[in-house]
Amino acid sequence: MGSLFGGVDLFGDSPHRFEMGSMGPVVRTRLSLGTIAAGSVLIGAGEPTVTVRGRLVAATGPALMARIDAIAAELQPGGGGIVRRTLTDHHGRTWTDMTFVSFEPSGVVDRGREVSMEFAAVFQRLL
Amino acid sequence: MIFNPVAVEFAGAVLAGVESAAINRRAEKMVVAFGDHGPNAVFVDVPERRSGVVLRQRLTTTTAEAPGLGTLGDLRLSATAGGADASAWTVVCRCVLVRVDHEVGAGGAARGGGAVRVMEFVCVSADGAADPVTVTPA
Repeated sequence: MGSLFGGVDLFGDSPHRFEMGSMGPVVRTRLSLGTIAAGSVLIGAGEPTVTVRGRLVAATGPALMARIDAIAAELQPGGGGIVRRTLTDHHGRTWTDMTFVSFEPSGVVDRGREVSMEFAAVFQRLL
Repeated sequence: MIFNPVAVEFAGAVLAGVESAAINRRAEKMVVAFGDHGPNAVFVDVPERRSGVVLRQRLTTTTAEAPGLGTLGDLRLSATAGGADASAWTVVCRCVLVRVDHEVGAGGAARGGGAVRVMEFVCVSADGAADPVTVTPA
């Protein structure tokens, strides 16, 4: 099965993999917070993060750019309310109330038999 | 692979005694991507490739000096495919000479072992998309 974000298949048949970030609360050492003391401070609940890494593939350069634009259009807007949707991986595992916070194409556009480019997309459950 | 090409020219100069020409292709950059369903690659592509030619030239006392490394020019080969096929081909590519080696046969050139000059060229595409090697029936 394909992956979904709010029912939308963002990455299609482009190869991509799901990478879970750290879980658990946010804990910082007192030293990192500017206090010269031993021990740590419990800041609060963490924000689960899932990063999708892969390679977008298209038949042509313009088709690849269109895919990038379509994905970017699903990003959390800079203003207004937070958009929370369910993220689903290839195996049906779901993360509810996730926000699409970052999409980063990286490296050069590779033009071989097909046109492709690496990317990383970050989804976060914002508090 | 072309054996015993009928005529070979590079940058306008005739290269005499060429006994073989190999046109090689290899991936300079390979993209291999995997998915979440299993261990096998699901996407493989070659977005950067290198085409090249290796000439083996039998040397005699009258063989001209090799062109200088870095020389850019058209390499033209007129040949019969495989050295045995009746059909004739012309291979043309714009390329740069990047290696000149010499091999001396057993006993040395003075004892009939023969000496061979090996010249390697890297082909240059006109625009990056076009195949730098053109092969046409003569």
